[in-house]
Amino acid sequence: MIMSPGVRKFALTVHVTTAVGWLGAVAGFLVLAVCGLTSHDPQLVRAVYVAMELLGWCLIVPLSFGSLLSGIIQGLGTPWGLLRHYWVLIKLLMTPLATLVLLVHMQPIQYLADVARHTLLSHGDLSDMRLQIVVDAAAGALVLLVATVLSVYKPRGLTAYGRRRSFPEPLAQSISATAAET
Amino acid sequence: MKNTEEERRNLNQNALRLPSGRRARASEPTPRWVLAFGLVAGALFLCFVVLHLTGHGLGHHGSGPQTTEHRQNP
Repeated sequence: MIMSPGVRKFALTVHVTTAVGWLGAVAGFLVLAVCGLTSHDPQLVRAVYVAMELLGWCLIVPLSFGSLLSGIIQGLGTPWGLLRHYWVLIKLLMTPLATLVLLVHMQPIQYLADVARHTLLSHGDLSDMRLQIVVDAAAGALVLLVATVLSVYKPRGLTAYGRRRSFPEPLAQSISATAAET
Repeated sequence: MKNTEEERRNLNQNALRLPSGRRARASEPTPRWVLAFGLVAGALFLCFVVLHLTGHGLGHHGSGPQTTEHRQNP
């Protein structure tokens, strides 16, 4: 199913907005996570973890699902397809994985926010968990950056499925024969 | 059946055109960037699994109390 140009532009706008918005939100999340880990001001640490919980549930999680869904629609509705090109396939594998990891790691964020609401966290409290959130946020930002680079550069390379779809057997043989002759 | 010159040109111009405007060949090997990407991703994943299996992962996903002391807000 190929989309009309107008629908395709709209779907692309939605996909770019959600995907880049997700990257931006995770970058902001990373800044907060580093601040929460390194700050000595208990009030600031409390504000940071409560803000991170809000940012996670209200922005990052919806954007991750929006990016995944709009990406699948883009793949199905354009000649790029979902499984024909390596760069699309890699993005298709990375995005659900990143969404899954994000959902798993919302649990410690939720816990930190709950603790921060009821107690004052000193510099060393829950340090492992706070460090884990920094590492997770950095890894998430890296994954999303790689996905953005793949989308912009669209490096060449057809998958085996993509070659079969683009070059039906008789056509592929004809092209190979042509290449051999020239 | 041998193609004419015009048929060859049509094959090259139409059948090999990608959405990006580039051309692809019917039998090209897996690109090097895909292999490199797979190697790096596999190594990172292996590190992640080994770290978690050996108990050197960062922190825990559970929600047990780990604070040195819980100070109630005034």
